[in-house]
Amino acid sequence: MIALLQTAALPSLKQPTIVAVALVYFAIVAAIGVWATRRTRTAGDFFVAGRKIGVLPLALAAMAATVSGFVFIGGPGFVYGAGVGALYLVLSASITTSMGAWVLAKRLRLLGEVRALMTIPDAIGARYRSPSAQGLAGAAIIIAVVGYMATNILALGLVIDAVFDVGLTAGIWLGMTITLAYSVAGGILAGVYTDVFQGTLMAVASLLVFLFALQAGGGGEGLAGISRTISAADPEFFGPWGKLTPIAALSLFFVFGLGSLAQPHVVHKFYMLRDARQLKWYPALMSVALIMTLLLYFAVGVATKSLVVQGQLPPLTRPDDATPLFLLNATPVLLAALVFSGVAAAIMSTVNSFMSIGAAAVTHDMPKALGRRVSNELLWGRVSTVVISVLAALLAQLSGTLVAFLGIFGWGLFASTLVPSLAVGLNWPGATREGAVASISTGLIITLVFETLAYFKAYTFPAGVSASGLALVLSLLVFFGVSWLTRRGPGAEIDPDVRMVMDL
Amino acid sequence: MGTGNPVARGSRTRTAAVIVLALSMSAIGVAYAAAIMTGRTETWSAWVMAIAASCSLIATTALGAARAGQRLGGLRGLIVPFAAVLVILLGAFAAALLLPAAGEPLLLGLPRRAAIVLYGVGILPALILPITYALTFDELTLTEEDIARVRAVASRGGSEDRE
Repeated sequence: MIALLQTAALPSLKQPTIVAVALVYFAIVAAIGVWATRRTRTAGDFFVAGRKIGVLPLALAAMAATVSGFVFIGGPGFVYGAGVGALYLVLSASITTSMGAWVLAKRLRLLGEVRALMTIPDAIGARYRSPSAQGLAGAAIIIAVVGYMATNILALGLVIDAVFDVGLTAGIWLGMTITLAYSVAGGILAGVYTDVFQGTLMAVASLLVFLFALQAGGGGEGLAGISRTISAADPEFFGPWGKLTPIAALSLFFVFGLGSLAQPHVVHKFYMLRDARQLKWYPALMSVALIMTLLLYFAVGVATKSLVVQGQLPPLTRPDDATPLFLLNATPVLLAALVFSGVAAAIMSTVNSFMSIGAAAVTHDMPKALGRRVSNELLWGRVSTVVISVLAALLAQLSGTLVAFLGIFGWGLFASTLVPSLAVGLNWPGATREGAVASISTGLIITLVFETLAYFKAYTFPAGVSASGLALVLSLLVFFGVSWLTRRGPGAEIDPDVRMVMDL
Repeated sequence: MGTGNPVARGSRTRTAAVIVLALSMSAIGVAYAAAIMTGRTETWSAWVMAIAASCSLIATTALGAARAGQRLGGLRGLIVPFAAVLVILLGAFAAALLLPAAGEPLLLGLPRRAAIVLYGVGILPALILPITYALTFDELTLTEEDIARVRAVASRGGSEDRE
């Protein structure tokens, strides 16, 4: 499995225009945070934005939370190194937005209305009539969130260091503090509206970079010029699997396709929609925004490769240098500045979403699993946001190479624990409480064991097999098997209101 | 009290979708197991992955779109677009595995096999599925009657007899 985010230093980006645009960007984010803070009065405002979000903000916020900094930095580097094979990681985006709408959006939104749910583990608890399943899902989310946030905060620190030249440690804490400030004060409401701004910035900047990349890399012939140039020097690059094996490429397609249903920081946003009928246009809006943003992933990778083949750029010592080098050499500095702000935007929007779901798991799901209720969820939501963020920032600063492992571990844990119990379970009445608990436990154990073995190089999977993929397959099979075995037991029962939503 | 024995009340469409998903996971599991045991990937495993990955995504989508108590799980009007996307995925991956590499012409700016995969898998479903979702939403996904039922239950504070 590839590293999901930037973990090595970027080239220096300290230029007056880039610094100025970054400062303007942070000022706008701060202004949105202040605005949202004045509108955050209850735990419902803090965790589900008062269920008052329209479909356009929902689509843009979901896209911004889906896309991490990897799409801007690591992704183009991956394309530069692996050719077409790297695109299998994002190819399923053509299906996943619609799949997510059919599988989760309607049911989560309606279940949220019927039961006043606020978190993803809430939905699991309601579906299986099981505080233990809710607690287990909450625990998996907390573990994954801290790990994934650490990776994102490190990436944010690297970007801030490259732009402002403040050093990595200062970059980490500066980035975390800015994101934390608007997240603690304005909760998910601030998060959603900064996501709207950030998502728009990311999509527009990516589209512009795509046009510049075709021009620069194709020498006036656009994509055809890029294809001819690269294929003449490196025929494998534009092969149907690039430099990956077919099974490795297809495995990426499978894991990132089905795994997209289990990103709680994204699907949690369905609760926030003001009117479920607005979902009608969600897949179309989300698909347009997502594909626009992913254009950069493809175009910068192939354009940089073309420019290197033509001798207009030196061969890259690290694939992750593709985006900074391309932008600084082949686009106007203002556009480069917008993209670097877009990178920070992508990371911050993801971190903010993680802060929210992590805090909700601590203050809402875990106490509920233990039969308790926190009296002031808004206050404790803010406190736990700070605690989780500081923990993640410390991990980012102190864990060295472990941070890349934490990111992969977090992503794999979400996929293997939530696809069966949430995505399938909310649509299949045959799923049982025992099946859900067994599959979540399987996902936790398999992901932890195999990712740890892989990290310490005690075991290396053959090309094409990943711990995330294996854990996803096994947790689904355990889910089906245990549900079938326990289909006549009390764990198969479903509350009537939940069943009604599942049947719609 | 719960509804009891929900499996028997599930629609055949949902059950069929779950069976396809379970078979797809089993097939991918076999491909992974073969790779782990032999330390390399066999040609057949690429075919298995291509078919199983495509089927798993479409089966999951169909599972989500299905409604209880309706003929074909309420999927009438969705079967054709879902089948079309499945055929596109399988066709694109088959073309990638079967077409010769030598002397590839460019297709819309890309070498033929890459173009088939990128435009076929990466773009076409993004045109078909969101439009299908929007066009069928009011009739097949969420009707006014559905909204009224949900609001009635929500106004009573959810299930009155739940634990």
